[in-house]
Amino acid sequence: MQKSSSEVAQKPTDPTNPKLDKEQRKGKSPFQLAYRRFVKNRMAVVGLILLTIIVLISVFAPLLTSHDPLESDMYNIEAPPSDEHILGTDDMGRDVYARLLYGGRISLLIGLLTMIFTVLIGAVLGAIAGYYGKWIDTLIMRFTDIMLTFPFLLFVLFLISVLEETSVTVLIVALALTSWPTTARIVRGVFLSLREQEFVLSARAIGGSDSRLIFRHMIPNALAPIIVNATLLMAVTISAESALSFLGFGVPQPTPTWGNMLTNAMNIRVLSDQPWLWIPPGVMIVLAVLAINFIGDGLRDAFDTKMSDNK
Amino acid sequence: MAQYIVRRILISIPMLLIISVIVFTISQLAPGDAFTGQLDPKLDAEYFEEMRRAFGLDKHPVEQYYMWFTNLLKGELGISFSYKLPVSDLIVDRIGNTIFLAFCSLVLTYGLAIPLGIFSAQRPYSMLDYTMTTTSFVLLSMPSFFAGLLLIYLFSFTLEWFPFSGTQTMGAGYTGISYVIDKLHHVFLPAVTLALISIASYTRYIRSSVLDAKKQDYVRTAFAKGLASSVVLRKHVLKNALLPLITLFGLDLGVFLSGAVITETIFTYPGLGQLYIESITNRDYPIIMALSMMGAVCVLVGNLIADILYAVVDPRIRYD
Repeated sequence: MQKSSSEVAQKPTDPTNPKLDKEQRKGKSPFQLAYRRFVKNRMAVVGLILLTIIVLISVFAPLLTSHDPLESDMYNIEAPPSDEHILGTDDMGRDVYARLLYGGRISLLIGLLTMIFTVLIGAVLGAIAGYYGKWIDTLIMRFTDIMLTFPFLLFVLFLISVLEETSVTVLIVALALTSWPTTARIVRGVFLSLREQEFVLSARAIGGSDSRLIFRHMIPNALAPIIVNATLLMAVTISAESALSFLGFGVPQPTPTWGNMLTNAMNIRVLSDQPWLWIPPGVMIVLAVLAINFIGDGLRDAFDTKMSDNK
Repeated sequence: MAQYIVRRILISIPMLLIISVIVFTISQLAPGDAFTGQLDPKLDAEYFEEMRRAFGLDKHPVEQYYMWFTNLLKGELGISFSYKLPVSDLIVDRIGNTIFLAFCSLVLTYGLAIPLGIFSAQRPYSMLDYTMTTTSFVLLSMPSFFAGLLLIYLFSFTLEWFPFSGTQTMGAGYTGISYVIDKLHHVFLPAVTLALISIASYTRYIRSSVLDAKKQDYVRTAFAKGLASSVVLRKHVLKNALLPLITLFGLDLGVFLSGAVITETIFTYPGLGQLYIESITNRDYPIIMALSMMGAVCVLVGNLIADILYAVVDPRIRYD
């Protein structure tokens, strides 16, 4: 979205010259058109605002709390919410509010990095399969089928189990290695259809190299579905990270993430008597995933040229 | 059709072979083995060497793979490191619970999603439709473990309506109808947890699919020839709109095992999912490998059932 908004800013429309305005409208790039449709979508804008707030409070966590998320307050262990500790403290006397804010950093970072790696793996494999076709396509797609045959959660847990100990890096690698097949399928499909289109054929006819065709002509045209997939993927990975951390196979303590803060709730006493320990991180996960899903759906509708533009 | 099924099954065989190689390779990447963690200075090293030999861990990996795979075909899944029992016995003990849970959650999913989806589509953009769409959006964004914890907090601790663990009341010795009721009482919350996300996504799916069908020409024709709207809904709209659900049913069969992992852990429900988590913690590879293979087989079979059922119910689909 950033790209299209800067493009809009670079070409201000001149209201005094209707002819120019008309010409510019004719010449709008698909991204500019998508941007217009996106900002008209109320759900998507709400999602974007919500996500921005969540990102901001995570990034500026030190300004919002004076507590250290790792430091134990030995006089206040398992304290209920108070002025000193807005959301109380956990069994180690750590401030839950501070952990909630700092936890967002790790959870969002894992979501973002996993998404980037997953899309890289998926897009490269999908592009190769779709562009070259023939046996390369068959090989890559058979492999993708096999990966999709593994139930996702079982496979991630299996991968994590062989490693000595879990860490943020391990988690990102494990998630990226298991999530790419859907992206690969989508990108391959787009590339297959792009390959036969006239502009690609003519680019090839005038002697464009494979890399020029792929990077100059095909990837820019495949960006829309990739971006939509990437956004929705980030919601899935944030959710997956929280589930794995909750089960105890994700980010190890004491580093806070929204998922491993919920691990406390496995203890029946915490679950029934100290809801302030586990409800807030759960709500944060839901809000973040919801916001990203709204944005993803908004982007999909915005990029979908079949939808009416309502000009 | 028969030819198609045979071809699909034949394609599945090499896929399963490759999957078995991947499963075996990953398990080999694990540092040490089941006995590494148990090293006890009081026991001498020879005992562990003997145990390793007994489990065949001293052989070459390729040989180990061959042994594992041929046993797998014979239905011998090996001996669990931690339970010291045959893996197949452990699975047989628990599979009933998981199937019961999956069945109950499927009943809930279809029982709720179909009427809700149709209802929503009958009054699109009404207050109720918006409420349901928003609710399903929130449910879709809620990780199932958090939903499960909220349900326990609400229905087990606050309202005290439902138990939050196990499959039956310990030592109650119920028989007959009260036994069934006790089982259902225990499975209710886990089944709801497992069903929530599917209820949300199916409701949305059915809503848009019914809305789509209502725009079709044949629906307008049906109205034009003077059919009652209930007849049009039943015979023309729903018949077409609900067909794709059959595919989803097949896909559901495929993933019931992974869905059960989180739900069964939260509710300490003794099924295959809980067994999987337990064996991941204990690095009990015979169990992990067996259940991973089972998961993959379920997905393959589920996909196949989905494709076949779809062709059976929809005469427009032709496989050749």
